[in-house]
Amino acid sequence: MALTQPWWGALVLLVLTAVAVIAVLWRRRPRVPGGALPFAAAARLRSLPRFRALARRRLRWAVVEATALAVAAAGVSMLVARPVDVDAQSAQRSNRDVVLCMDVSGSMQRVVRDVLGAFGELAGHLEGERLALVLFDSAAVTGFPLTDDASFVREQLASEAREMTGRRVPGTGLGDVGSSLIGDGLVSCLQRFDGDPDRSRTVVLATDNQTSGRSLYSLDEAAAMAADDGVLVFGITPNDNTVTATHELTEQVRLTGGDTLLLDPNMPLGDIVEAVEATQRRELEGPARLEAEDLLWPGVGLTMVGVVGAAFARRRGMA
Amino acid sequence: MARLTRIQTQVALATRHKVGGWAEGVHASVNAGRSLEFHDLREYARGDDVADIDWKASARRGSLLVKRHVAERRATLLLAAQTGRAMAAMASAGTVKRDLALDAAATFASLALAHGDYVGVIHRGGATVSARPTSRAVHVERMLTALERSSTPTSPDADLAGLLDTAATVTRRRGIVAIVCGDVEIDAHLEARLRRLVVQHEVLVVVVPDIDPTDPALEHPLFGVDNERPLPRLRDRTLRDEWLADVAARAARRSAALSRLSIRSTTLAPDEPVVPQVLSLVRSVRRAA
Repeated sequence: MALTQPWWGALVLLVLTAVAVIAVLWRRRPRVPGGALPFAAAARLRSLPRFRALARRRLRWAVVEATALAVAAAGVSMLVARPVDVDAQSAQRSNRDVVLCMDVSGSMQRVVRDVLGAFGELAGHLEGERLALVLFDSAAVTGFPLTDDASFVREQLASEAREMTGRRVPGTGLGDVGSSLIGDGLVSCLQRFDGDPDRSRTVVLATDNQTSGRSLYSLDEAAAMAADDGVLVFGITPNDNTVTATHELTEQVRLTGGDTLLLDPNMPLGDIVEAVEATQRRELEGPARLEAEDLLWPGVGLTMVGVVGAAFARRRGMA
Repeated sequence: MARLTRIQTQVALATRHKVGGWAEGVHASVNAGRSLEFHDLREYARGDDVADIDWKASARRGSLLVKRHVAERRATLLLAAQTGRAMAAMASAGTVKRDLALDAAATFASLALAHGDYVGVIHRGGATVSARPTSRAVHVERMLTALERSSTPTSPDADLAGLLDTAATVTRRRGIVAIVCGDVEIDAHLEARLRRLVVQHEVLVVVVPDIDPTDPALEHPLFGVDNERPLPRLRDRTLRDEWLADVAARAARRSAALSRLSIRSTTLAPDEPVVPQVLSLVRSVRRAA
C-alpha cells in the first residue's frame, strides 16, 4: 500500500487536529438554553451519588465519542491521502521467459519424473513468468510453448509425468544420428524464445551430459550461443551422474552466468529463482510499470467506524 | 395591582367570618393602661393622675373615681425573608420562589395591618436591610418591593444565620417573627439562633420548596442558578427516587428540629393559593395558644 497524496492527508489530519485543539481550548461554558428554568438546589442534586454515577457515565461516553471522532478523522485523512495498492511485481515477472529443457534420452529415463517434479516445483516458485517445456533426445519436441498460464503449465507438467512410462517420447528420436544430443537440444531450446529483447531469458537444462552420436552443435558452441544471446542457462543433473560429465556441463553453464544443481528432493531451487529474478532487475530498468489500484476500503472503513461509533456514543451518553 | 392590596383583599375575604388573626385578644391587654378605649372606673388612689378623674361620676357617687383605659399594646410583626438568587429560582414549572415568598410575607403583613400592628421587613443579602416597623400599608408595600428587588438572579446569596441574628436584635419588645425561607437545612448554628428567637418572640416558619428537577412532566430544561450551568435532562428513575428521598429526609430533619423548638412551620404547595396556606398556619398557632 502506498499513499498517492501523503501531504494532503497530513495536511487534513493537521487541520482536523488543530480544529479539535482550538475547540478544546476555546471551549465556552455550556450555554443555558433558551426557556431554561432556574433551579436553586443544583449543588444538592449534583452531589447525589446517582447523579455522579450518571455524570461519570456520560463522561465515559464522551471519551468514547472523542476517540471515535479521532478514528473518523484518521479515516478522512487516509481517504484524502488516496492510498493505492501498487502491483508492480507481477508486471515485472511477466517480462521473464523460462524454457524448461529436458533430456529424455535412455540414460535419463530413470529420472525424468523427478526432473518433471523439479520443474513443477520451479514453476510454483516462479509466478507470472512465461514457461515453456522442451523435450529432446536426438531431436527436440515442444512440450508446450512459452505461456504465462500457470494452471496450464501445472497441468502439462503433470500430464507429461504421467505419460513418461519408459518408452521414448514420440518425435525425439530422429533418424540415426545418435541420441542425447545435448548441444543440439540446448540450441533448440534457445530457439523457443520469441526474440523479444525486453524479456530476460533463462533455460533450465536437465541432462546427464552424456552425448552419444553426431551433434550439429557441441555443448561448447551451444553455451557460447546462449551467452551471446544473453540467455541464462541452469543445469540440473542426476545426483548419480559421472563427475566429469557434470563438471563439463557446469563449466559450460557458468559461461552463461548459471550453475548446475544435482537432482535431489531437497534441491535448492531457490538459487534458480533468485538468479532468474536477478536477471529481471538487470534487464528491465527503464519501463518499470506500476499498476496502482485505488485502495478505498481502509479509509472508508475507518471513517464509517468512527462516525457510527461517535453517533452511538452520543446516543448512549445522552440516554 | 400592588401585591399588598391584592393579598389584603384575599385575606379580608378569607377571614371575614372566621378569624380575626392572631392579634385578636393577644394584645387586648388585661392590664389597664393608657389609651382612648375606656375600660372601667375605680376609686381614686393616691398617685393617680388627676387628669384621669371622672368628675361627673365622682359627683354622682360622692367620692373620687378615676377612669381606667385599656392599655394599648401594638404587636410588632417582623418579616425575616430570605432573598438572593436562590429565591429567583423556580418553585414549580410555573411559579418563582420569590413570588411565593412575597405572597406569604404579604399575607402576614395584611393580617398584622388589619389589626393595626407594626410590620417590619428585614432581609440580608450583602448587607442587612431593615426598615423601621410601620403600620402604614404604603410603607409595607415599599418594603416588600425592596424584598423583591433583592431576589433577582444576580442578587448575592442570602445569609440566613445573619438574618436571624438581626431579627433577634432589631426589636426588644416581644413580637412575632415570621421567617420565610427556602428549603434550608437547619444545622446547629441555625438551631441555636432560632432557639434564641423563640425565647424572645413567637416564631413562624414558611418554607418555599424547590422545583422537582426529576419530574418527568417537566417540559423545560433547568439550569443551576448558583453557577448558571445547564443541567442535563434527568430521566433516570433511580435518580428521581434518590432526589425525592433526599428532599423528604431534609424536610423530616427540618420539621424535627423545628418541633424541638416548638416552632410552627409550613411548606408551601407551589401551585396552590398562598393565602389560605398561611392563614391555616396562623390558625394553628392560635389554637395552640
